[in-house]
Amino acid sequence: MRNRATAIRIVLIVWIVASIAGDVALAFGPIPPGQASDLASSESLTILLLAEIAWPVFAGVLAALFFTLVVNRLAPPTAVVSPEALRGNTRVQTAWIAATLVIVLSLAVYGTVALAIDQPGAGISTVSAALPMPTSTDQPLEVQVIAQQWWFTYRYPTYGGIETSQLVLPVNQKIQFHITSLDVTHSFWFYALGVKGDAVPLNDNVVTATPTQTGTYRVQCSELCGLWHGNMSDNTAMVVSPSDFATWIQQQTTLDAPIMKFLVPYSHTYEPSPTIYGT
Amino acid sequence: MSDVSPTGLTAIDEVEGGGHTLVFSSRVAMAANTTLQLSLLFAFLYLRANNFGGMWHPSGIGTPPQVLALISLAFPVIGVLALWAVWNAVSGSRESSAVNGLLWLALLAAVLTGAVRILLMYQFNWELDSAGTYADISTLWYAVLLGEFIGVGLWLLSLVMGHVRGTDRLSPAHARAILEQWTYITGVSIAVYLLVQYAT
Amino acid sequence: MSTRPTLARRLNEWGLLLGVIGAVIGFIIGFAIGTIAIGNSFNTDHSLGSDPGILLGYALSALGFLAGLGFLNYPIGRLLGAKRPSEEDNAYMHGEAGGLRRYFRMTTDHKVIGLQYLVMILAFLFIGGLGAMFIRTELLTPSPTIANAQSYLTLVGLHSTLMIFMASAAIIGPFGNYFVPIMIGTRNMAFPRLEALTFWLLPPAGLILLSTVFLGGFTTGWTGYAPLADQNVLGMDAYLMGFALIGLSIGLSGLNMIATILTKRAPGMPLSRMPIFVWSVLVTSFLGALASPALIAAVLMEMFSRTYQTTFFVPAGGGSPYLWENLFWFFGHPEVYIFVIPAFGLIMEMLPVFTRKPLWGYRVGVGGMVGVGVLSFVVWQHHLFVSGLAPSLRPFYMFSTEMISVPTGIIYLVSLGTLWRARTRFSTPMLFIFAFFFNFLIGGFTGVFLSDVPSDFSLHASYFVQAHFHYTIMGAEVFALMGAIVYYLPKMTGRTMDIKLLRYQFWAVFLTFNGTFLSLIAVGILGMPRRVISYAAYLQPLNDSASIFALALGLSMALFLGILIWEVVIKQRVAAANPWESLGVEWQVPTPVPTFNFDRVPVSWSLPYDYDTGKPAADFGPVAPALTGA
Repeated sequence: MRNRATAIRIVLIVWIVASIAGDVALAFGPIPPGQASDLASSESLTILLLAEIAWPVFAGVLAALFFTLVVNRLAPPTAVVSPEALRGNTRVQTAWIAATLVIVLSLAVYGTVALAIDQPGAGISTVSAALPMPTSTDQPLEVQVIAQQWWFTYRYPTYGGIETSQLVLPVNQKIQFHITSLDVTHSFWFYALGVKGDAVPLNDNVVTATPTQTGTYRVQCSELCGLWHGNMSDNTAMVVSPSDFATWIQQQTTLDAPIMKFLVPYSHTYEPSPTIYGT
Repeated sequence: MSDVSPTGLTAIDEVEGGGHTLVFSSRVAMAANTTLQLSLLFAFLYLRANNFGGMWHPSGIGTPPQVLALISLAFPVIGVLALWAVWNAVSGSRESSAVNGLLWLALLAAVLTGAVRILLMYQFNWELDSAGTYADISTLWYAVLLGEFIGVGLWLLSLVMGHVRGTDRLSPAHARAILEQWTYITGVSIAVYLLVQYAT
Repeated sequence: MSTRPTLARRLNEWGLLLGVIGAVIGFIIGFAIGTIAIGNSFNTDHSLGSDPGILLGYALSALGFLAGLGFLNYPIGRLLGAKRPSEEDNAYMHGEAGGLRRYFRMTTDHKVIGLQYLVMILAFLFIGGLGAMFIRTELLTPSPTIANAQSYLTLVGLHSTLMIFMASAAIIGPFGNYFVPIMIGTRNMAFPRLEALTFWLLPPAGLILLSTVFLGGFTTGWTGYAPLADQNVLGMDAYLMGFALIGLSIGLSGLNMIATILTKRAPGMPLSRMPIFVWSVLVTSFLGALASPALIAAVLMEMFSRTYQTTFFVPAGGGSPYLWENLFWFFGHPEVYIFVIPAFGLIMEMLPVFTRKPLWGYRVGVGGMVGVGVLSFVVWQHHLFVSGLAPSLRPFYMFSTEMISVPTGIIYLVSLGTLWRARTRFSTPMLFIFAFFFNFLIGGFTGVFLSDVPSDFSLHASYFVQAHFHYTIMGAEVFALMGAIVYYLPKMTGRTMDIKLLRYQFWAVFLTFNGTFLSLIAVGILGMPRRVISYAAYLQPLNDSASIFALALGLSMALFLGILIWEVVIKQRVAAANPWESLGVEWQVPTPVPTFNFDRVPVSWSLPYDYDTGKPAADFGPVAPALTGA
C-alpha cells in the first residue's frame, strides 16, 4: 500500500513537471506558420493555445495509462472493491463527460470568436466590382490569384488590371486576395502569410491578410489538381517595401503595356476553359 | 445481472426472425433509399438555387411531357391499391380467393409503370451534353426511380410466381413489405414529378 | 443426403473458376454494347475504347462474376416460381460437407465468410501497403526519381482508394461476420446470401480499381474531386465502378447486420446484455446503411457525366465542384467512423479479458459509440473549411466536430476505468491494445487542430492531415485489427502464432509507425501539401526520416504476414481452446465452431465480462430444474 501511494505521487509529479515543461517549451518555441502577417500570427496563436491545452491533457491520459498498466502490476491494489464499483461509477462518468464538454465548448467558443474577430477569410465574395485604390494601409488592396493547370497568375485591378506571373505585395498593407480558377479546383497556399483558399472555377474566394515582414516566400497549390500538382509552386513570391512595390508595379505596367489590349477585362471570375471530358 | 432469461424461455432450437425480420429490413432499406433520394434532392435544389452560369435551365429546354408523366404516376398508384388489397386479403383470417387476381393486377400495373416510364424518358426532348443541370438531374432522378421500380417489380414477379405456382404461398409479412416498398417509391415519384414539372 | 450431387452443386464447386469466366464474358459483352450501341452516339473518342464501354463492361463483368459463383441461381429460381431451396440445399450452401473447398466458393456460413474476408482484406491491404512503399521511396528526394507525375498520382490514388475500400470492412468483415452471430446466439445471419454477396463484391471492386493501371490511371486521389475527374482518362472509370461496388457492399452489409442484430438475438439477450463489440457493429452498420447511398448518388452523377456528358460538377455547364464535395464528404465523414468504431468495440471487448475485470461503464461506452455515430453525420463540412463555401456555417461545423471528442473521450474513460486497479496481463494482443490507445490519442489530438477553423487554415490539406488520418485509421484501426488477429485466430483457425516472436514484431511496427507519422506531422506543420511529387528542398531531411521509417514499417508489417503464414498455414501450431481464458460466448463453443454454431441456442445470457465471479456469458449446461417450470 505504501509503495502504491509513492508510485501515485511519482506519476503525478512526473505529469505535472512534464506538463509545465512542455507548455513552457511551446510558449518559447517557434510556432508555425510564423509571424509574417497578422493572419499568420493569429493562426500561430491559435495553434499555440490549442497545443498548450492539448499537451497536459495528452500527457495526463498517457500518465493514467502508464499508471494503470505498470504501477498496478508492480504494486497491486489491495483494497477490496464492490461488484458495483467494478462495473461503473456514475459520478466519475458524469465528471469526465462534464470536463470534456467544458474543454470542448470553450475551444468552440474561442474558435468562433477568433473567426469572428479576424474574419480570416475563405468566403465567397458576392461583390462584383473591384475595390478602389486604398487610401490608407488599413483599407484593403485587391490582388487576384488566378489558378490554372498548373500555375498561378496574379492581377492587380487597382493598377489597371495588369497580369503578372510573380506575386509581389507591399509590406504592412492590408491585402484582399480574390482566388479563382480557370479549370479545376486548386487551392492557393501562401504558407508564410497563413493564407489558404480553394480556387474554384466561377467562384471568387476571398482571404484577407496584412503582411508584416518583407522577404521571399513560397506559394503552392494545396488541392490535388492533376498531373503537375506537385510542381504548382513558386519560390519567388515577395513581400517588399511600399517604394519597391511601386517600382515593381511600374516595371510590370510597362512590360504588360503591349498585351493589355488582348487581356480579358478584369473580373472576379472568368469563363472557365473547357474542362468537359474529352479535352 | 440476473441469470434468468427475461423471456422466461428455457430452450429453443433456432432464432427465427421470420416475417418480422423481413418487414424490418425492408424498412431499413427504405431509410437507406431515403439518403439516396435526399442526395438527389440536395443536388436538385443546390443546382437550381445557384443557377451557375445561368445554366440551370437554359431557354429552349422544356419539361417532361405532362400527360405521359401523369400516366406514369397513375400506374404505380393502381399498383399501390392492388397491393394494399392483396395485403388485406392475405392478412385476413380466411384465405381470400381474390388474392391471385389482385396479384396479377399489381404485376400488370408494375409492368405498365416500367413501360410508360421508359417511354417517358425517351420523350425527354433534350440533349444531355448541352441542356443544363435541370435536364441532367431530372434525367438521373427518373433513371434512378426507374431502376427502383424495376427492382421492386422483379420482387413482385417472384412473389406472384411463387404464389401462383403454389411453391411459396404469399405471407402477410411479404405482402406488407412489398406494399410498403411500392408505396414509398410511388410517393417519391409523385414528389419528383412535382419538382421536375413545377420547380423548373 | 442424396448420393449424386445435383448439377447446380457440382457447378458451385467450381464457382470461383466459373466466376472468372463469367467476368470475362460479361466484360466483353458490356464493352461491346457500350462501345457500339451507346458510345457511337457521343463524341467520346479514345484509343482504348469509350467510357460507356468500359463502365458497362465493368458492371457486367462484376455481374458475370457473381453469376458464375451462383448468386443468380436463387433469385432466378424465385422469379420462375421454383420451389424454395430444401433444407438439404441450404445445408450444402452453408458448407455442411466441410472441407477446404468451401472457402473457394459461395457459401452462406458466416464463419467461412469471415475467414474469406480476412484473407482477402489482408491481401489487398498488403498490395495497398506496397503502394505506400513506392510513394515513400519516391519522396526520398524533392524531385521525381523513380516515378513520373502520372504514375505517382496513380500510385497515390491506388494506395488511398484501395486502403479506404479495405478499411471499411477490415474489422466488420472478418470479425463482425464471424463473431456477431455467435455472440448474439443465432445460427446464421438474417440474410446469409446477402452476406456472401457483400464479401464477393470485394474482389471485383479491388481488381477493377487496380485495373486502372491498364487504362492510364487516374489523378484525383481517393476523393475523386470533379471537374478534375471529368478531365481524366479512362482510368477514372475504374475508380468510379470500384467505389460503386464498395458503396453497395458497405450498404448491404450494414442492412444485413442491422437486421441480424436487431431481430435475431437469442431470446435471453436484451440489448442491455449485448457484447460491446456487437454494439459497435450495430452503430457502424447504421452509418454504412445510411451514408453509402450518398456516395452512390455522387458516383452515379459522375458516371452520367463521363458517359452522357452531363455537367453536374462542371461550372461551365451549370454544375458545381461543391456539389461533389458535399455529397462525397457527407458519405466520407461517416465512412471514417465506419473504420474506427468497430475498433473501439474490439478494444473494449478484449480489454476485460486481459485486465481480468468487468468492463467498467458498459452503458456509457455504448452511449459513446452511439454519440460518435450520430455526430458523424453533421460534421462533413469541416472538409470544406477553406473551400470558400458557406463561411457563416463554419462555427457550427467547428462546434459539431469538436463535440466528437466528448463521446470518443468516453471510450478512453471506459478503458481507463477497466484498467484501473487491474493487474493487466501483458499478452501480445494487450500490446496492440496499448498501441491503439497511444496512436488514437495522437490521432484525436491532431484532429482538434484541424477542427478549429483558424488553425485549420494553416494545416488544411497538408501532411498534417495525412498524418492525422493515418494515426486514426492505421494507428487505431489496423493496430486493433492486428491485435484482433492475434487474439481471435486461435478461435477462427484452431491455430496460433508465436506470441513471443510477435512481441518483437509489435515493437518494430509500433516504433516505425510512430517514427513515420510523427515525421509527417512535422512535415505538414512546416508547410508540405499532400499528394505532391516535388517538394521544397528544406523539407527533405524530415521526408527522408519518414521514408526510412516507412520502409522499416513496411518490413515490420511483412514480418507480421510472414509469421502469420509460417505459423498458421505452414507449421500449423495448434492453439489452446481458450488461450486468453475469456468468458465470451465465442470461446465457450467448441473449436472449430460447429457448422451451425450451437447444439441448442442458450437462453440465459449475461454480459461476458463477469471476471469477478467468473460466470461465462451464456449458459450451455442442461436446463436448470428451477427454470423448466417457468
